[in-house]
Amino acid sequence: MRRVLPLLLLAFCAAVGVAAANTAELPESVALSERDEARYERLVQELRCLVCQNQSVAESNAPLALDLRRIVRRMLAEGHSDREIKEFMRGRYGDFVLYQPPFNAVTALLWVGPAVLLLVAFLLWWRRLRTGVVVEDDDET
Amino acid sequence: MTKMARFSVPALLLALLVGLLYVGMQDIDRSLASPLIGLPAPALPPADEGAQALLPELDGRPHLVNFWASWCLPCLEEHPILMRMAGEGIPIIGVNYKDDPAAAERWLQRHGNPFAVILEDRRGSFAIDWGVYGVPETYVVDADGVIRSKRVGVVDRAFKEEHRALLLPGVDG
Repeated sequence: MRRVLPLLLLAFCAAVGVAAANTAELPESVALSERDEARYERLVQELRCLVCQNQSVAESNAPLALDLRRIVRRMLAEGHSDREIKEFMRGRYGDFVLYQPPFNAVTALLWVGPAVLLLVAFLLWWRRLRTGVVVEDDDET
Repeated sequence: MTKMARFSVPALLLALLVGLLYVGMQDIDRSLASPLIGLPAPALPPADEGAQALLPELDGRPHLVNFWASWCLPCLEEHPILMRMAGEGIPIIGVNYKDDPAAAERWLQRHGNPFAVILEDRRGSFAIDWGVYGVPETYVVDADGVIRSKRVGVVDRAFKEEHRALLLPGVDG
């Protein structure tokens, strides 16, 4: 049994995966060229599903995600650029719909923050190394 | 002194960061500001003959646009407030979202109809232009047809009080 269990689990996961892939395919009726298909896959990964906010439009089976996937397909078929499609979504749902938010006044801290923190940490570390005060200090206490 | 600084500076920074994250966490009502606020309202679903006759009455009047469905439980929850607002003279356009018209009709007969005009968005495509991501959602549209505010989820008394002045100009209250 112990050996069979992982296999069973694997089979189950595979079956669920296939089922999920099938439902995901349902609304996408518009045929796309191979290149556009790749663009489609990338775009729906980059869009957030507004209903289940920690899933992308690609992953979610919420009705809204199905609608948005359909729209992305249609816009690709109509020859819109990636930027136009993202702007379409952003104009309706705001920056939040993009997993990679654009750089602006509101998101500046988000983008720059980690780099600034890292820089500060590095400067502190460097100063400590150079002065060498730390080690002696620690020994004394 | 240096030892003191060595301890207190990182502690202070940590406290600041925790404070920042804590403040960030307070925005839990999912009230993501709509990018449509301040812009002209998008097109509404086409009106049938009955609604066509009623729509001109709303021209140049502030009103609400409420996306709802008979299958939506929170819509029932906010229904009494909508009825009260309608009773006070606030025009509400009801956009029936991904619903079966017969079911919608039954729902309105059973609970009462707060809507001045009812429009149908069977496929939910108009709702996407409005940036709706789930019913109920309610928009405040001013006399110039500009979206002034949006409520995601149930409309409550606070919402009603907040927008009373805009929705009922000339009525003191």
